[in-house]
Amino acid sequence: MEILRVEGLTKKFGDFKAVDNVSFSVKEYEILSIIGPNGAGKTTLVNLITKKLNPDSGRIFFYDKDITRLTARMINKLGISRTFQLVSPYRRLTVSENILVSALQFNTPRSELQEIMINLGLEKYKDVKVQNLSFGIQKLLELAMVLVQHPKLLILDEPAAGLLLHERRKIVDFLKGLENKITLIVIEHDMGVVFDLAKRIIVMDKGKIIADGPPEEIANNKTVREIYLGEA
Amino acid sequence: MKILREANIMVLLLTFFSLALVPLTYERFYIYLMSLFMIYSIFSLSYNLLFGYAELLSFGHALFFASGAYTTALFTLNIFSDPLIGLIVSAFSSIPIALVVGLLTLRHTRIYFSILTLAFGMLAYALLVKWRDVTGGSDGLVGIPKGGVLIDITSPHLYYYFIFAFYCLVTISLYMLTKSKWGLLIRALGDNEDRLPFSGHSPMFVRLFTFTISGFVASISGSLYAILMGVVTPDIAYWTFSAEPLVMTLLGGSGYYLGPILGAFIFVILTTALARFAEYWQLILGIAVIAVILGFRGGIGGVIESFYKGRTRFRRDVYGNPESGRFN
Amino acid sequence: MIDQALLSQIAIGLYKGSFYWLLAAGLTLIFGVTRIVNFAHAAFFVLGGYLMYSFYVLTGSFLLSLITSLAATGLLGALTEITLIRRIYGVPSIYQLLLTFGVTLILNDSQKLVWGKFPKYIDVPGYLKGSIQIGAISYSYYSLLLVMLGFLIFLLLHLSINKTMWGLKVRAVWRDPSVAQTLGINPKKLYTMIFLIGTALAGLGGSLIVVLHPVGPGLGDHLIIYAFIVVVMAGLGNIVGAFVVSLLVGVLSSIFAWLIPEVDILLIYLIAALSLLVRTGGLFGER
Repeated sequence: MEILRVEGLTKKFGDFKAVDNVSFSVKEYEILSIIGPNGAGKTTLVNLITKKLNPDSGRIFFYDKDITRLTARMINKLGISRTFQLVSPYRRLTVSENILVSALQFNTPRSELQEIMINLGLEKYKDVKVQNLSFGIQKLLELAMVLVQHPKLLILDEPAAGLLLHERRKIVDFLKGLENKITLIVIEHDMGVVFDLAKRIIVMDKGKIIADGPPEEIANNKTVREIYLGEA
Repeated sequence: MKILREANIMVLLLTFFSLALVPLTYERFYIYLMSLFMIYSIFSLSYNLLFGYAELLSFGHALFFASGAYTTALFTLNIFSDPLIGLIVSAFSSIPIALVVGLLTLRHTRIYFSILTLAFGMLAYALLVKWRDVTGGSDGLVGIPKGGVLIDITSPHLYYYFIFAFYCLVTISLYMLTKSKWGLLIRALGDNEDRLPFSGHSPMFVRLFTFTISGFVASISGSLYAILMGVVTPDIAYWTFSAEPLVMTLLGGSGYYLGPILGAFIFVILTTALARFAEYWQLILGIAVIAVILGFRGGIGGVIESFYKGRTRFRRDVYGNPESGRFN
Repeated sequence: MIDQALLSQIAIGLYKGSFYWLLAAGLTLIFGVTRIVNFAHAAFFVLGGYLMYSFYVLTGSFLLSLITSLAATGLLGALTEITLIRRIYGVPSIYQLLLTFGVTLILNDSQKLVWGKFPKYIDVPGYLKGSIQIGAISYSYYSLLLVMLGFLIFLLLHLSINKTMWGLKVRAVWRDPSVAQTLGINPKKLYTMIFLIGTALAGLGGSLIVVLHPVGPGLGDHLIIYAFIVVVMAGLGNIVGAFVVSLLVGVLSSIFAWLIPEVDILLIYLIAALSLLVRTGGLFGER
């Protein structure tokens, strides 16, 4: 079953084409990773799908329903949640308040909020204001904030960036546990995470999709290797 | 009773207790002063909901105060002479005003919102001054009755407790609001509005909600003022009057629920009781405002909190101040 | 005849507008470069008027008093920038607005302390008395001088920002202060200078107004609204727009006051609110 379909999505900033006529579709429960050099348009693509930005042209379909004209809030309530690369929590609220705000519209039971906090190791910070927490903890909070929304499609923007090795492992293990329960799109730079997690990889460069396939195929793709030559 | 452990509630109850005793002094001046204090407290609390919690800086809040005052005056003078009914009618008539003004102004970004509220506030002022036939123009309206059909609060004791009843009602209800899920949403709006849609909420809805409640409560304070004074004039709609709850809130500390009440107390004492200072209250207030912005962001509330570091619970933090200690 | 009356209202409106321009010019300049909304701007304007009064009483020389009072106002503005404003460049804009509001309060009462509660004014100096006939209207020399001065200031400001080396620096900082810094421009000094020029302009306006209109407590509070309306309607930071809108506001308010005095200020605020609503970027768009 197709959960997401993107057709001809384009976004320009002046003359600069951040996203250039991008089309692809995602099946339910797929674990897809979008990779590409900095400035390739990955985050802009996510912003377009979640309506943080309005596309200049193109269409977006969610379970075959045209959601191009909907607002960010409506899309969130329909079942698409996303995290932010540079975390965007409610800084002056506590961890538990952040999670509560995220879950209010989704009627998630309190017990579950507790559970998710415990699973991500946030329980001991629950009454601490987010502005006083380290970046790593804030990233875990980002994850918690979307998980409590029970999304059908979860888009994570660099969930491992800035994290220590053991923190990364924690996240990857957690995400693996979501297999067959949620459709996942993960933007990442850390190839270790990507190849460990993803069953399908889309490579972007200069606003366009230049490769799309299973990890082994992508790893051997000549163009992709050229682009990444010199990168870690 | 867990709620009694809240420091805020304790202090609030203390104020209730002290205020209830005031009329027993039989000093007309104190009764008048504290009546004014309670009215300003309600006005400032309503303002801080917008300013401290939702981070919306309005320069037109006097619009609601004046609408409450004038509607009560007009109603009790022309339609039905009873202060309580007058207050209720004017409080509810503030809702459509808040919705209209809110829908028009809240769509815009912060600075423009502030300036728009200034324009709308002055629009109200101009209306009050120019519409002589209805509003009495710059002379205003006089003879607002304290004695009504349902209740008669002509004597100082009676009108004091009338105001006191509303003071208690408002301070408790607003407190419960801030502690509720609504309060959480309003704080989230003030903190990181851009994230709200991705948490499934509508920023515009939360803004409008806050604005309407704020206006509703402010108009109650205006009604009480009209009843207390017996007279209303357009200067209560002038933008400088809108600045007063702002200053009170800043002084007391916008990050604390009780901050505006503290600020209102200081303000009323400064401008009314100390005659020598009353003349140049702007100077003192100006220095205080600058001091708050430059150093004591938490206002006097912040100063008090630093004395109680570690012993308090559920205090909202203020800009730039580090975590205030452990949590119990 | 209606035509003549209308024309003379327009003429009055032009010089009223010139005052709004002198008030708005500094405000929009300061905002454009430093991004600070200077709530105290009208208070500086009024201060200029008070200083002019005192210097004139002291020296009897119109020109000398004019120059001194605008310089003094400018210097006070620069002093305010150095001691207070400088500390709050990074904080959220509402706190900046509030700080300048605090300055307004202090200025208001300080003026009351020094000059008392009653308004001050001075007479038109002898050599500027009299009027000339332009077509069917008689225009006083003083008002004519004002309009010409306003236009001159506009030209000077516009040209110096767009055509000089100094103006280039201003525009660079306007665009992007950190980039400007890497180019060797010192934004700090520039900010102080901008505050100096901006408040001096306000002071100039105030010094000139004290002849036609008494300067007293409450004037600043009244004028700041007009200043904001003009600046926001024109687009914050837009100098050309501010000039045009100031004159427009001056002319419109004159005509309203003449035609429909029952609702003149009501109409002004109504139009202002409507224009603000229609274009969040003001009538001319932000620069």
